[in-house]
Amino acid sequence: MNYAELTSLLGYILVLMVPYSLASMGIMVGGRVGVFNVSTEGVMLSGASAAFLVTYFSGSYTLGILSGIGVGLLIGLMMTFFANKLKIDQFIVGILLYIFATGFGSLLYKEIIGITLYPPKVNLLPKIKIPLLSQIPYLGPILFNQDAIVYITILIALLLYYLLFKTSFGLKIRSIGENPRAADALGINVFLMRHIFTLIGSALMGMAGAYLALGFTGIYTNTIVSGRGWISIAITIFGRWNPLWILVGALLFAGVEVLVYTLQAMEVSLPYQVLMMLPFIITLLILIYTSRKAEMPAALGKPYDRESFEE
Amino acid sequence: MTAVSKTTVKDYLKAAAYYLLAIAAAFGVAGLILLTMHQDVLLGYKTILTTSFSSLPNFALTIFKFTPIYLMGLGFSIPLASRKFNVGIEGQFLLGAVGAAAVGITLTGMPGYIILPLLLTVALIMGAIWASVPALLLYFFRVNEIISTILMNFISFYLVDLIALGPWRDVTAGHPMTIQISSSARLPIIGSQINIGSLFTIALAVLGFFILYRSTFGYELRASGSNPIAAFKFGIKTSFLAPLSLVLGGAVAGLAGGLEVSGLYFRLVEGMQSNYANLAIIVSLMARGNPVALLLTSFFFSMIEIGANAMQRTMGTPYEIALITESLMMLFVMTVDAIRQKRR
Repeated sequence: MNYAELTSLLGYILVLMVPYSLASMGIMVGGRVGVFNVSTEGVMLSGASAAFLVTYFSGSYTLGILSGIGVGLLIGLMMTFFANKLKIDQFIVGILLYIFATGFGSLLYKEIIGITLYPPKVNLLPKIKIPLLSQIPYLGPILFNQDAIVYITILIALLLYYLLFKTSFGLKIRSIGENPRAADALGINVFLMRHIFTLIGSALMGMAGAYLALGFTGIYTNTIVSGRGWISIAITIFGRWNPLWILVGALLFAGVEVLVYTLQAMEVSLPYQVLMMLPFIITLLILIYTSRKAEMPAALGKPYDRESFEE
Repeated sequence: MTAVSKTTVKDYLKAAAYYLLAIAAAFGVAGLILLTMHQDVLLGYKTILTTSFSSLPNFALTIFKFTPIYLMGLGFSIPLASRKFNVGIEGQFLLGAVGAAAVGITLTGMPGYIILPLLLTVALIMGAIWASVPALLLYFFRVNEIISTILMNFISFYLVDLIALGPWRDVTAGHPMTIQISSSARLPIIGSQINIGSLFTIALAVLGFFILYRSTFGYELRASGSNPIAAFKFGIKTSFLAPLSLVLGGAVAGLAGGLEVSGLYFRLVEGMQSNYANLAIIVSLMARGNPVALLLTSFFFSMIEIGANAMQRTMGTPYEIALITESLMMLFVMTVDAIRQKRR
């Protein structure tokens, strides 16, 4: 493997980090106010579909990403209505919205593009070479020659970390996920915050899907997400619902994925199906590893009802 | 036992009316989507609701779909009683199919009365084994079963691909699939179209109902699901029951896979799981995990599936419209429930 191949391979880790970390941060943001949104996989597919179509017809990446976010908001609106307003079991709503969004994303593409022999393509998001820094050997091309969303994702993680862990507003938000009754007693608008953060979370998931289509594949297929949404839930747990640790977890899984592609390209003697199983097996192992010290928001998954007793 | 107020016939009718309203609302949304796609809405409704009954072959097809949807729904319902979500029915179904294909391909020259029970038992065990991984993770490490069962699904997809392209591969086929199972490993057909597999569903419905609602095990399972703390204090081993229910659910889903191989495809085919898992989850939730009510919801959804496939063929409507309608239907049913509960 020469220098150019190696750096482009390692650069891919940062590209793949984006969907994992955006989706995981989406789950985290909802979880911090006590909403466990498991519709991720479906929201990502819908986001990918909408973003691809909009960019394909308009030629604008900004509009594409925004429509991915928009679809995320739309499904987030359903999530928050059913789970927070009507207080229906979050897991059931999440699974049903996963099914809904899977159907929706696929329908959108089939209706507008139809079934074609060769799927239409968009160019991948342009890479931005940061002056000087991109000249550093090895690190330069890997870290400082990426598309805008890679940088934005890292910024979002830092921003969310600061907001949630370094401000009093963040403390209030996190208290909703730990003990909504106490938060309510302190005068925090639990219901409003649950609505807002569920929406933000779902929007991030939609953006994750949009990036898959525009920054990674350049085409849309029904298998474009292929489990990354579910793995993101595991990354969130592994990252202890903390944006910075989520970034680490996302890098780890992006690394595993790039490793799988590399081994495939090197034609190792293992069947490719076994290689493709690897990320999922590793996810299971990580879930076991984190189980002993899993820190979850205490009120995660529980609807908040002022009139109910107990807790 | 707690005293429960008697439900009158009037209450049942009221509930039925509310549910019909929810179902109608979902169809209403589907109609709006069809309108935006410039499709004939009324023809769409007619196709969805009547195709199953339009001819004997279509009805037989409906029953063919009904069997796996029902059994996988049961595989979701049993753990649901202890409030565990077995989203892994898809993988358990596939492992059952793998087991059945292995038996059917390797054991030749044996009479059907030996090989068929063996094939179905192996399918059942394979499904149970596949489900026991998340079950063990739940028992020992409290790993969330939704994530672990889904991850097992993805592993199973690649496993099926590996086997379908392995030594048993049918080289004449363009799509990954194995060679056919021996003729004695195939389910007998009753009448002209319907295989004996659908009879299993009726038997299992009755069995499932008695296990869940009339046995100590079922009582304890439901108690641990509805109020785990109280159940624990009454000496019910809640931490053991939930994983066990996952394994049982896996066994039933595995059986469904075995029946598909033995009664329909006669081989392992990649993608044979279709989207049964998603449908099974919805029908099980709609039946609230009740195996008898599940017969009704599974049949209803099989009908929609056949109708939606016909719509895709004759009207060019993407099949996904069914998936959207079905998930909305369940969301609306729960909305109706939530509103009624608030009123009380």
